[in-house]
Amino acid sequence: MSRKTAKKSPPAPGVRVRMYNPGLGDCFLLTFETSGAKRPRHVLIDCGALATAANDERLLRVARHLAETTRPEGIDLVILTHPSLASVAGFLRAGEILAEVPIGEVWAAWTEDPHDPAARALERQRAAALAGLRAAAAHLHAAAHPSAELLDPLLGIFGDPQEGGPTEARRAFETVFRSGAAKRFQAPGDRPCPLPGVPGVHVYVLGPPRNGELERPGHDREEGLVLGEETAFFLAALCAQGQAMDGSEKDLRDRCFPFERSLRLSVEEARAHSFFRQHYFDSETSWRTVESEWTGCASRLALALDRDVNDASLALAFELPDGRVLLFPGNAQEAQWRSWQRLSWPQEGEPDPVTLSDLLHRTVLYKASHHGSQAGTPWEDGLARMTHPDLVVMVPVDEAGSREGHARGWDFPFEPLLERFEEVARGRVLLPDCCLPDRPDRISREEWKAFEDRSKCEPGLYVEVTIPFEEKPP
Amino acid sequence: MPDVSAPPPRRRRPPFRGLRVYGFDPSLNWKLETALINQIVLQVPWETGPDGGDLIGPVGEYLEVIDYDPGSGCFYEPVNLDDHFLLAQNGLEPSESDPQFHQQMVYAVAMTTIRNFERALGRRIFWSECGKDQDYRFVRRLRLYPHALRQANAYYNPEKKCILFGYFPASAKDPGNLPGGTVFTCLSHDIIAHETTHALLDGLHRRFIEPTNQDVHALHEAFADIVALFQHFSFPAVLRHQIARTKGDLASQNLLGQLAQQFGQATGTYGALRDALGKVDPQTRKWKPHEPDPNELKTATEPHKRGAILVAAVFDAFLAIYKSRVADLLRIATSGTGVMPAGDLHPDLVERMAKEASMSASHILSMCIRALDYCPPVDVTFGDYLRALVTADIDLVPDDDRRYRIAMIEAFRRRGIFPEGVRSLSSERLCWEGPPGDMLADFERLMPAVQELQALRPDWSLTSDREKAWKQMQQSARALHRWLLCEDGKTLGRCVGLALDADAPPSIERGANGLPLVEIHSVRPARRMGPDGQAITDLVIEITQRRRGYVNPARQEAVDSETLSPLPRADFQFRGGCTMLIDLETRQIRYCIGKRITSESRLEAHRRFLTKQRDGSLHATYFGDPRMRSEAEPFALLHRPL
Repeated sequence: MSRKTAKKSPPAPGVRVRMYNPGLGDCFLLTFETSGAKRPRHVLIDCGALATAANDERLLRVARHLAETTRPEGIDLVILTHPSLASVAGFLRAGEILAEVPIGEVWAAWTEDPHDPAARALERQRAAALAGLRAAAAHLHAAAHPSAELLDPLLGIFGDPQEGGPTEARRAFETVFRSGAAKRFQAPGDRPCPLPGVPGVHVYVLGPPRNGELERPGHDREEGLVLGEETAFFLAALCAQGQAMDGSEKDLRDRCFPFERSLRLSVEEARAHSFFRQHYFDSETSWRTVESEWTGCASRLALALDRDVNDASLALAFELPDGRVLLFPGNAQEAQWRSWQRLSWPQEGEPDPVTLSDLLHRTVLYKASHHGSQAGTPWEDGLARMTHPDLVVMVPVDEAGSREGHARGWDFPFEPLLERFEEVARGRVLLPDCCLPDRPDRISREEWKAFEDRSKCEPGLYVEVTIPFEEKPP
Repeated sequence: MPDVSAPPPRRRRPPFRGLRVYGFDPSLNWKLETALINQIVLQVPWETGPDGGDLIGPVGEYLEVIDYDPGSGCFYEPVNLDDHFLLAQNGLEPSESDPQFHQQMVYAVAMTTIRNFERALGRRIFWSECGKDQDYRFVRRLRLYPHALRQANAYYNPEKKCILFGYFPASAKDPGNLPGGTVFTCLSHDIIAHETTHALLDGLHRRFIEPTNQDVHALHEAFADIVALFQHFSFPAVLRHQIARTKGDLASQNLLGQLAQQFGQATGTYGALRDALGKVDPQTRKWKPHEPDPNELKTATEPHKRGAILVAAVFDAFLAIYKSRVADLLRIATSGTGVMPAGDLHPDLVERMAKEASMSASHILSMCIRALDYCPPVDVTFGDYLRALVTADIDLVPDDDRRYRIAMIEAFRRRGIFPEGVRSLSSERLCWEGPPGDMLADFERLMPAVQELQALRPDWSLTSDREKAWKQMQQSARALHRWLLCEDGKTLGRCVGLALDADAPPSIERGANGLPLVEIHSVRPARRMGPDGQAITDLVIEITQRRRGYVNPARQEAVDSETLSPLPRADFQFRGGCTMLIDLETRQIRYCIGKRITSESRLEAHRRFLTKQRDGSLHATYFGDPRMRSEAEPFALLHRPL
């Protein structure tokens, strides 16, 4: 079956968007057919899933299918949206298979550029936050605090670090970068860039924004770590776990103490102190001690970190030759969506520049951000403006993925948002392992048939939709 | 405590101990204009340590301050407020760098808040008891940890009966605070008063921490803010200063209407954390007053936002009362023109206006606190609270000569807060009702004899021992419980909306005997004024019941039609019950404020609240909807939503 699929080319010209099913994660293969090109061009956007044994199996299956589909030329462009396992794990977990697939070019967000000082500062900030959060999680576990169970899956998104080195997600990036393909680090600019090998298709880079919006509080682009609420918390967590710190961290930690050293009583001293013996270390009132409560805020900070990493997603809008748009926002959250409002792209020979509104109006395929969470897709400045009658929404989380999330206590996708998708896209909402959706009553048979004719599904492996387009005369 | 050591002449223990604190928080000390008024002396009831010795910690009758800083892995030496030097100078001087002053301040402000409650209620206050189901234990002291968290947060933990205060370095980008300087939440009067009020409210209404509709947590927040705000008006120097500065117009921007300035600035709100009068526009950085918008209540769902509407309504009522009380003063001062002369107000005028403001504020505060005795025991709404306010006030001041009630009702109406099922917004209509007239005779027949009722009244006067009073209340509750299960009691229970019989819906929780469980939540005295001005004590009885709630109505139906056995695990806990106020002299049930356990419409509303207004925040996405599970620390997140 898959061989047949690979051989079958979409009715030229057009683009086939295939959403693989790697578990709770993203993997999209866009295959462009144009009359100018001799062969189809393959663009892979992410290939990852959260780390579970079942997902590793799925990733292997997806990778094998990818390799076969793109043989012999390989993937022309790999786009990595952001460093989380749900977007890049495949490059490690199915690394052997994907290593055999030639890659033409790699795009990543400017935040991943090893030579960009702002990106590196950001990276250090996140690493510091992650180290602090891991220490806090260990502390919470030791105290059997209920929020430890909530924290672990969230930190698991980044993958475990190896011997204090980079996280698994980070290593996946490095693996792809080392493949020898040309690298491009994208940032929003004043003109869209051409899609290599696909004449007439342009890519608008929407985010991540460059102007300091992604910096975490308590950090500074020049100085790195500075004193702030989060820094103080992370350093205290590291300290409580007895973890090593460098000189500047130690210095900062010392400044985080609220009072002079001479005023502090160590825990041993306090145990010997009659007042504390009577009122704190007394077995009668041990139910009132507060050993681990202070680390409880780690869950809030972990959410903030997750949000910030998602918000630093490479968000792209592919403009087809006929002006229609495929929107791939990565896992962009509200802050990034807001930043898009300020963007505009001047057009040659046109008085008005292209704006976000234009792109949203012309969107015919929307990849739901962040597995269909409410935070990923705003209504007013987002979904409500996607008014194109051909709109299809792809939500990269299916029932299995959602169950997998539930096992971690997560709630993907957000049901009310799914209902909105169905409304806006007139029922054309695709989930990775479902068969095609049923026709809503209000949609005519003809309209539905047209949609069914251009979509296809391989249960458990992928669903796809083909979008034919008209090429502009040269 | 008798003084044994003194040779004649015998000296009495002083009633109060003066303790110095920051009037607001340390940030006001950095401004020339406010530095002078920021240090005040609170008069705190004199008490000794637990064994009659020195007041160390301080650990007293109501509070224990334990200065453990787990984030730094250390403790701080407890202050001894009976130290000679400290006694001679109203305690330690305000200082950010001395942890012992921090201990003194949390103690003094929390004690002041407690005292306001006791004065308003006319009885001793209790913290909520610890333990579960029938095995409740008395908690004598609320524990305060002034430095328990390393974060911009402070919260009341109802499991451990303690308040945890946080501290954090101010960020470098914040213009108001010293970059890297530490902000202590335990040095903010407003934060201490707010959190203490959470604990006090929890002590009075244990079920108000369960969000069964969108008003419950909002009321918790609003009430805590109201107490913190109106306490500002009990600081005479601050009040005089602000009245002079605003020329008596307390509706303009002023410190009295603002909460937690330093905390607000350090966490990036460009001003106070909350402001009852207006807010700073984030774009223009200019302050502008709030406009009452009756539709705001429909859209605001987050507890603080929603609570702010209630706070604004109460504050509006206060301003209206204050204005009417100073109208004559202004006429005298301006020779009837109403136009203030240029320049400063005469200090005497300021003094008189301050007195009026402080009187009005203290009345409003008492009114708000007293209303708590008139709230339903579960599932309270803003509308219920308005009715409670009005009823409580009618009981205390039968003739509304100062028009307090009208001011309050109007302010609520302007913010779109209406009680359900009331035909007009007059005080008579808003006042809670007793049982219908035709049942009155039945009630009189059914109620236990006066002597028995009198015996139920615990001795809660302000001089009684709290643990004894608490134990008495438990005994009364048990006696009442027994009576409710006898025939007379059951008949009466049915009349007030309880489900006590075997044929009640099976989803109502049962005891071992197969009969619905019922819990006597509280039996306490409430004071009021009789028609001739004599003080009368009513008995407040709170009764609650539990029922298994299912998100799926069909499943609920199946459970209630007895087709399922064993009963499936409940999706949520549905509660009902009633608060009864009984006149001990006449045995009349004066008010019966009920939330029926058998009400299908209320059950459906609860279900809708849990399911329809789905929470799509990141927090709910990753950690689940907090409404669907009972949390150990319901306030920890309330105070710092992501």
